[in-house]
Amino acid sequence: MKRYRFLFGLFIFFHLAACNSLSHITVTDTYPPLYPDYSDVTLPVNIAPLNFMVTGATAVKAELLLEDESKTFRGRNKISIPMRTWRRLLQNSALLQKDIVVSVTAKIQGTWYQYLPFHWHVTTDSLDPYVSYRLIEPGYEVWNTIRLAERNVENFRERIIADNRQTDKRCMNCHTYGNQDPSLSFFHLRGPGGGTVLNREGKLRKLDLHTEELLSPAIYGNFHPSGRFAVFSTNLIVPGFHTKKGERLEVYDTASDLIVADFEENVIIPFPSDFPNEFRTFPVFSADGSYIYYCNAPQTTLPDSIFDVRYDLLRIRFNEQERTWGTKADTVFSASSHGVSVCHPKTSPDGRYLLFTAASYGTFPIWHQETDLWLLDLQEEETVIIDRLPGVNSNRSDTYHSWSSNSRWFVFASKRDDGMYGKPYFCYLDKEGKAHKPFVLPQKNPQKYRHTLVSYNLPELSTGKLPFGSSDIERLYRKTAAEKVYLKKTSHE
Amino acid sequence: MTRKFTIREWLPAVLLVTGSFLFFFFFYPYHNLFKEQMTLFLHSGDYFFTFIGKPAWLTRYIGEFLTQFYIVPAGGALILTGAFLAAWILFRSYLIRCGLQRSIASWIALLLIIPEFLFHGSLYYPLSSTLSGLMALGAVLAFTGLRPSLYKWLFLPAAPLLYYLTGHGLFLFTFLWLVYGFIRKDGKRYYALLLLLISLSFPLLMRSVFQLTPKQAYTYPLKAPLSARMDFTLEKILAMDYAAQQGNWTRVLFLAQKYQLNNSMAAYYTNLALSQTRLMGDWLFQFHQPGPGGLFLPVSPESTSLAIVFSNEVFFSLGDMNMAQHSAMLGMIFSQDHRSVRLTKRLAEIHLLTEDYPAADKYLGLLDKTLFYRRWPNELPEHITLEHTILREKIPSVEAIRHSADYTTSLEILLQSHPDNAPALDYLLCFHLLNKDIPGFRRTYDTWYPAAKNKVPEVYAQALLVSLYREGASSKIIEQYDIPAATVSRFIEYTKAFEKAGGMSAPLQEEYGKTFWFYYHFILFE
Repeated sequence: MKRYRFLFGLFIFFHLAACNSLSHITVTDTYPPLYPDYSDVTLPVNIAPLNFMVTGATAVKAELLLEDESKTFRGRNKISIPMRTWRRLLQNSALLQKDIVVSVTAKIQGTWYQYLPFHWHVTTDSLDPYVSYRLIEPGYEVWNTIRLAERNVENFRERIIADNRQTDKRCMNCHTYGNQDPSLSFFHLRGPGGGTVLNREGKLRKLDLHTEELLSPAIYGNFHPSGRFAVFSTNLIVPGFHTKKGERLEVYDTASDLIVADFEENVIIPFPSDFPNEFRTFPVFSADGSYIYYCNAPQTTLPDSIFDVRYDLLRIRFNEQERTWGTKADTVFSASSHGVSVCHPKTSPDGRYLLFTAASYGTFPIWHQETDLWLLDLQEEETVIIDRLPGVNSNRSDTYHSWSSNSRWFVFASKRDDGMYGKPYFCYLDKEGKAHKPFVLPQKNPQKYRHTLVSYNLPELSTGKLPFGSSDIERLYRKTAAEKVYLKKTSHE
Repeated sequence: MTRKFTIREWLPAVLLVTGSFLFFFFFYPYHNLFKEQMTLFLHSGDYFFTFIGKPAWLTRYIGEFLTQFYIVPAGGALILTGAFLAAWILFRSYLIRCGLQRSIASWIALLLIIPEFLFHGSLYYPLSSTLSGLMALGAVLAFTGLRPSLYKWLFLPAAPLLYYLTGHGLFLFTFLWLVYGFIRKDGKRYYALLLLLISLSFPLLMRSVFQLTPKQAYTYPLKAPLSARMDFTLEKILAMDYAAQQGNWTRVLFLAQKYQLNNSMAAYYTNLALSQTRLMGDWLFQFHQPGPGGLFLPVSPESTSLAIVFSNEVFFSLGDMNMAQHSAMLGMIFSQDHRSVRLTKRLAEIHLLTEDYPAADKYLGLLDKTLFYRRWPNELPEHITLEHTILREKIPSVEAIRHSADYTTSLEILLQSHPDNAPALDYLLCFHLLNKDIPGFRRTYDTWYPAAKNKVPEVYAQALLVSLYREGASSKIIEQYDIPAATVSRFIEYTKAFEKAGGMSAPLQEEYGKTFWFYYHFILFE
């Protein structure tokens, strides 16, 4: 009797399932409403599975087709791809040099829809396996909890490398690598007991990169390729709030300048004093370390003239042996003549490109909706060739970028989803210099981005795992006094 | 045969249940209502996984789940009463197993619950902490049923597990375990000491895994210092806040009149209600005014989290959506769990009003995952009422950059964009008055106050008289301001009385204590 009941139950189940089956499918000529938008993107062969959701769906089926091989995955409203299957699929795709074709069928409000298939192009140009970022709630001028995290992009493992709850809630600035090398990085820990945390050659140090003569402690910075030096800006930063709707925070400098720090001799090499009094910020070394690129604007009264402040891209020589700055600065890109302001320039490790943020004014693009990434080809000495990266940028802030060690990838923070919370996007730049459609850092559960209330700030790529963790930072904060630095008197060539 | 319970055994439970329910339902409901507003429990798998990276994940998860039901006063009162009753039953059982008489055990168990009852008087004491204690009690009771060898050796695997599930519940468990073992005369003392050391050192050993400070490692899931005190002043402020949340401004004024609190947060809600009922110009000094801090609650690292949570209300009602958004975001960040259903709703409203729909969707999406607010987004078109339409019209169209505490510029920008924004004008005039800035008040009044008004509000008339008197204005100019004759005569009387009092406030207090003149001469900013 029990057996018959079971068979009858099975019959009912399959009957209902058949009523609800894929036989009544509405074919649409649109792409599926994916979240995150992973349609037609280029992927590195070593990326973690691109799990995705279909917005509004109560049942989803995805078929991944590579030549003759087909894999089908099902889910309630999301598709989760097993790691091993995914790896094999990516490797085969790269080997065969064929795209993976993804067909999605989803049940939305009781109706099954078959959407246009999209492609995943897989390249053998790998992405650096680690990305670090700062997790912070967008609180503008005050903060509460800040964490620095390191994520393995080949899987879903995330590790906290610094947590300000272990350092008396001190402010922590973003983590910056040198040469995408995990054994060369720094970040600033502000306030009493803080300093610049330097991770170099397997040793953690804490430095007080401030002297009486400087405007402020070191702020925006970048390593020299040798790892011995780093260039920083010193800034008097003032936050302000827009009154008009749609605009949010504005941060501006009432004064700013540059310094180079020598980590071996604990010496600060200031910017030459015989240059005109101007705003100088966001310095970075060229790939070979012989130049420093920075953003420069004439001084003006702020905040009254904030809407007219536009920073140009300049460069000045740096002599590593003599530890001196050059005597003149060249304008690399006159952004002001294009009606934009340059922020966060970053040179590619191969020296070919310089990626920067273009905002309509000012020096704090993260809350400027119009902020875009622009790519400058440094190979062309005579003419300025700018790629405005239309396929990469969105109508919200796209900034805080950094390069992969092979110069084929860059990562940046984009607020394209909701305008509020930045997320790390990866973009492939092929050998011809063509930028492909970016994709967001995959998460095991793609819904994570919908529920998070933190921004992923300043994502930076690295070739390996960092040699420290949050306990090391806590120890450094509590038990180590910050090393003092001294100002070098002459800084000219 | 079942044993009959005597009244002496049951009386403590009856007292506990009735006392606790009546207290939290009738006398202390607003703390619990506010606690509910400061949680955002999402019914989703990934939200569940955010708990498991820290100790006490189970009690925190259940605690937050249950705190949702504090949405009505009976919910909080019932859940707390249930938790206390469960704790009483468990404590009583434990004490009986320790050999106490049943009736004595009942009363001692009641005494042991009292501190827990008092802890719930604090705004920052979470339900999860009580649940941690309950789980620890339950675990000890389960252990007392074991044979001695298991009782001893199962402690080792149970302690870490209990720490992971309940946090500080481990210490209650260890203490009760040791006491019971001592009474039973189980094992050797050095072994008990060793287990005590293990229990005490375990959080310290694990804190790097959970990324906690030593203090956090020992107190999780508690996130604020313990306070065994019922704060009835705060309860009154929360009552005013709750009425303001409902848009019941007359009740706010009624409560302000009833409570007569000398407190900047109470003044903040009173002034907000005065502004919403257009009574600010007449009644400002009918209530305690601590200075400009009674108009805006400053948001800074020194501010309390409660002040930060409240601070967005005034900006929202005035139409300064950028500052409202800033304050609401900070309220969320500085709330205990960094998420709040009240502030999520406010952020959704702000972004709907500013027509920033992708950002609004973010917050509506979060509300969609809650138990009690998932329908709120669907009902929102009904919520976008006339009030919201008016608010949308107040949003500034003039672009400028101001510091977050530069209230004068913020209010002036609101008026430049919409000169008919009456609450903004009241706030600007009163901001100057409370700052005792007579030229600022006069300038604002002359620039923005509508000339065709029927009657100059009493407080503004009093301030105008001070300004006109200081500049030695002619009677013709005074007439232009249409100041009521009664106010003019009262001012003359006050001036005489002031001179007679020789700088003393006491003789003037009764007659003039609720005038701008008295405030101007005698009240110091808090």
